[in-house]
Amino acid sequence: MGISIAVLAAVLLFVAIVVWVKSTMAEQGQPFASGASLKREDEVEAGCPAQFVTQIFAKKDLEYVSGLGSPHLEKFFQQERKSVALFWVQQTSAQIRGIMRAHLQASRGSSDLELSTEAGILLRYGGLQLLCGVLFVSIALAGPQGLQGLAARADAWAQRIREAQLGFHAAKETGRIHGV
Amino acid sequence: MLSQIIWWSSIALEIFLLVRAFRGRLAAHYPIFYIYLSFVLSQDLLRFVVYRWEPRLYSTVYWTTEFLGVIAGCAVMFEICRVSLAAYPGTARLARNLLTLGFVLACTNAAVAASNDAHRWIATCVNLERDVRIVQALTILALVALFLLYAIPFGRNLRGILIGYGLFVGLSVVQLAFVSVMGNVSSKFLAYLQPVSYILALCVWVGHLWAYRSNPEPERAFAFEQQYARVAAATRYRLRAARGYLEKAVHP
Repeated sequence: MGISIAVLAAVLLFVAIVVWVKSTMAEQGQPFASGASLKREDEVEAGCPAQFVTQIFAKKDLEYVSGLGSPHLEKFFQQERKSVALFWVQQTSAQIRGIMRAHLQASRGSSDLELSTEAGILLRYGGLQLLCGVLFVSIALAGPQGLQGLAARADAWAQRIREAQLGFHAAKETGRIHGV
Repeated sequence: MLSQIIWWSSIALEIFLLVRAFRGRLAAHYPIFYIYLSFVLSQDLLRFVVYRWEPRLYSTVYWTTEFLGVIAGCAVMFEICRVSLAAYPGTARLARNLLTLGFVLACTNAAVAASNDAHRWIATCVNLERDVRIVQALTILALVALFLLYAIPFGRNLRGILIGYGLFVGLSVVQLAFVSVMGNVSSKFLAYLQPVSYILALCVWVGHLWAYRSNPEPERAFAFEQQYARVAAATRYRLRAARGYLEKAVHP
């Protein structure tokens, strides 16, 4: 093990200690969310109704505003929608963090804590936070309406790959039947 | 002269901490930490005596006591887990496994390094201590991550013990890494880094272990929360719901 590993380990240790000390100082007198919140399984949806979310990302409103023929209004509308969409992603990310906090609070007192289950939940949580990050960047770059366009394009690509795979399997099956 | 100042000031601080431990009844709450501190104090005194009257034995005494100190340091980590996680049996089990793994890794590493390079024993000792300290630093890092993740509340005393020991181990790792490559005589700064880091740790301990401060009591969890399988299932369900909710944005 060389100097670089040693210095890296030491730096990581110092950073972790500083972050930990800061968080323990901040959390003094600030308890976790109440345990009752665990029972609220619709917590994420409670932030913003599903229909509203669909509306933020829908193209229909943009098409209507574009039809009015005012570029200024259209630009303003797009900016507003983008801000709302970005706020929604941040809010959802914070709510997911809340779910994780509630889980950690509840599970840390359990005597039968399982490493594999905890790791699985942590991975799932990491994946969701990553998804939020990707959504945030995509919305910031392409706008909420553009996001659906991107998704549609990705779907189309996936569909084409699936079709190609099916075609390949079909060709293989045909070859096997004919003894090729 | 500077080394004498460092030597005597660390002895004075250790005595001071031990006096405070008995006056403030801290020793009863953190027995292993104070045994460690007593060990380091006796180690300092023994080294001083040998250095003064039997200098040819100094190397042997230094490295023997140094490794015993490293093992005693591992015991301090176990004590931090024992006290801080007393109310969290599941998390305590995770932490104990983590510490045992770190301890076994450190010992294996030490044994392998010693058998590989036994003929250059001082260089081997430096490399050995460096490797063991790196494993120790990584174990402390993993423990701090665990405490951070589960937001384990820490009292002032325990926080001080962990900060001081973490600081000492971190700086020792840096010092030993450079010494193993450049040699101890190449830089006075490097030669003094470990003792100075230990004095820093002692100062942190004096500040945090002045009087006994109990660890914050955890809030009593609901009976529902005690059943881990249900808690995990509920979290998985909620995270799945969150995923579905996010996907609605892309696929209405």
